[in-house]
Amino acid sequence: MLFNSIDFAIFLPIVFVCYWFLVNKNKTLQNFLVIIASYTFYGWWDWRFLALIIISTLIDYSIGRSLFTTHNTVSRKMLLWSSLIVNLGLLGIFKYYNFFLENFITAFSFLGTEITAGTLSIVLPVGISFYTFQTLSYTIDVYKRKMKPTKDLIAFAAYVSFFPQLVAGPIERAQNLLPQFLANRQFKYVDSVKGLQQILWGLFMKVVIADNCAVYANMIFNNSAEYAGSTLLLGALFFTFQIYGDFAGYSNIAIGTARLFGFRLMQNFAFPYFSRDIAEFWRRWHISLSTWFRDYLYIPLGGSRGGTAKSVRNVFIIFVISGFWHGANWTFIAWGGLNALYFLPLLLTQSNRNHLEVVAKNKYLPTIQECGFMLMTFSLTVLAWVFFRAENISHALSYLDGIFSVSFFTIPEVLPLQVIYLVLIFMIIEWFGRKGEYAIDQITISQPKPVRWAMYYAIILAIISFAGTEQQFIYFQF
Amino acid sequence: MSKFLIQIIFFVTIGILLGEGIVRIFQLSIDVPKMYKDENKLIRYEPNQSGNYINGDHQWVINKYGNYGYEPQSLDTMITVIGDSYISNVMNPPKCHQANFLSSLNSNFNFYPNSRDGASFIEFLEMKRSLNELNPVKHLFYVHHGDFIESIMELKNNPLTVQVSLESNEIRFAKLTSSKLKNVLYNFKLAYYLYRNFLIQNINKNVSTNNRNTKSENINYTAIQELLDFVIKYYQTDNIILVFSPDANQKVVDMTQNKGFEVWRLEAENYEKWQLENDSHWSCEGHKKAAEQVNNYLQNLRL
Repeated sequence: MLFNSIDFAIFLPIVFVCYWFLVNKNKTLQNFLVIIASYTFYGWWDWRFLALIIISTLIDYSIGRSLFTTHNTVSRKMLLWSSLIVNLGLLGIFKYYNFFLENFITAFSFLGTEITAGTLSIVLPVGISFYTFQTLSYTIDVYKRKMKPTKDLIAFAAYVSFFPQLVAGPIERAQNLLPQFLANRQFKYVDSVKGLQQILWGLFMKVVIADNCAVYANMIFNNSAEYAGSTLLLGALFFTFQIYGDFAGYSNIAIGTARLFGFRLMQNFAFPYFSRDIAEFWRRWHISLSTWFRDYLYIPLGGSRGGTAKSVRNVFIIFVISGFWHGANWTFIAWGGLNALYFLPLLLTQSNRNHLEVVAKNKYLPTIQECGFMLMTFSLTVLAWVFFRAENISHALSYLDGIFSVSFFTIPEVLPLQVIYLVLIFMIIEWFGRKGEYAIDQITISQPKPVRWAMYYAIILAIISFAGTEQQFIYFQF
Repeated sequence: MSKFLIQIIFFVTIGILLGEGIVRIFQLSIDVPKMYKDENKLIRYEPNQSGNYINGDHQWVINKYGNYGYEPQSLDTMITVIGDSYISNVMNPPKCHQANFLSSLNSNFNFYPNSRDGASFIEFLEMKRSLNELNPVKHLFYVHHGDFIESIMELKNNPLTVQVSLESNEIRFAKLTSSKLKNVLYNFKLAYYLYRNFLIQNINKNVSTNNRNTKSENINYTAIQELLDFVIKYYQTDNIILVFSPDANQKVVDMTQNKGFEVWRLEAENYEKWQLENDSHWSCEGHKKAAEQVNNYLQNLRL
């Protein structure tokens, strides 16, 4: 079920009313309703893959319980590895099997040995990368004794399958989300209003920004050989806003929806395109994934301790794996590697934590220097997105080659002014809302009700009037 | 909780009122003609209606006889112009309808338009039967091979158009299943706007019913032959002229001719230029060209 579908528009109020009216007296019943709703939400796409979620849930619940009662170090390690093998094994089979097989065959044919092996015709289960990481965070935290395992299977199953963030995050930590399922929930007016507000803004980002940009990004990327450098740059810019509107929009809808049910999810995007360097960008882009890799991979590998060489190695590992997490294609690995290269100078000069606060914190406008930093970071990001969007590495390279050609100085063949104006308006709103959790969070808070409502109606009108044609969320494929 | 729900209801109510106002003021939605079933069991439009096409580009008109387009000046020396949405529809202004063009080209006759979205060949015959009391000189049936296929229940079961069962030789009249919904949509324009733009994604591409997508290799000629036999047996066909669309299947054209129908096939060098953008229905230009060819044919008949 898609957030931007009629199905979800009917589904959400039904679940909301049942949750707060029918089963509001009992948290176990509420959790049970969440499971039913989540499985329905997921099964709407393909009910067969519900088995994977159920398997993952039961295994990690059991392993979590066993980890708590087992004190033998070797046994505990074996339990942890069991969880890692099962979860990452399922992810590997469904997501990476064909990639490794094809590259294996290519590598051997390069060495002169022909191998014939059939690839599997597998459909990638929606959201497998997200819920796998979420359950792993639980097992690892229990293993490290950062939290106690829950005895409540229903609460745990609700935590794993929680429909707002099941298929595209934010990837929640058990330490944050699971206790919320174990506690009683009370309806809070402010939370529900804020939740609806965030859903509305998320829909605007998805339907107006991402879907409109997608039309031109797809057109230009799919026919890149036919366009001048200026058009190709425009195509890369459209994709830059498409992926942001798409994914941050989804996250906003997810967080807002969770808030309607009394849950607080972590912020996943914090205005990343206003970052002044790549390190800041990665603190603001897909925060739940970046911090997951930081906590469960980068720090266990040694982080920035242990000398420059080891730090550089660790940075490359997490960026490349992060890229690979997005998809079984060399383009994602290249995208991750390129970001690691961007990050390297900051690491080596120990300036990767220069910009921890929001840009121009107490000012309306940034300084010229801040503008320069933001522009440079944004430009680097746009170039990296070319690898992310391209079909393969050679497509990405030819695309970049096309951008940096003489035709860069011509007028673009494709110039959809309406979409460009929409993006500009969107970025202005984002700028003035950058201190909040989402763009209209702070903007609306101080306004009287008629002004707030007028703004909501304006956003709804924009969604209805400028709705693009794309439907699917990009991050579903991850 | 109750405060939240009250606020939501209040917000939605104001939103609906505002939306309704915006859709009406900016004419963002097509007005829907009201329909009913007449004493002959045929679906008809209620007479003397008019409404806006999208953005108020033009107004569609249902005349005093309950047909799309302007009514004829008189019912004397009348030729009927019968067909489906290709003859007259909401997408073209009334001045661009087939009967109107014919009237302007040929003042010897009064051209009486009679069409309905999604009507089949059998429905054309029923329309003709209902008009016989007006003693028309001729009946022009604007047809396409799809209209014949659409008439046969065994080939394409469609309760929304008049069909014949070739097995039982029984006529099944069209159901007016959506009349209540259409009545609601007629009055609630925001709902219709949302319905058109979000619930049925492709409706803009084809506002009226279109049965012209059947490819030649999929045509069941034997069934069409049986249909024609049925028609010859049960209907009066001697004063009908079948005007075939330029993209009609030639074998079907020949079959009708062999059955004794008077036939005229329209010709178009570049048929796409006859059609609306993103829609296979004829544009104003297409209607004009079709009317010129039909008028030449009628002139040669020396009626």
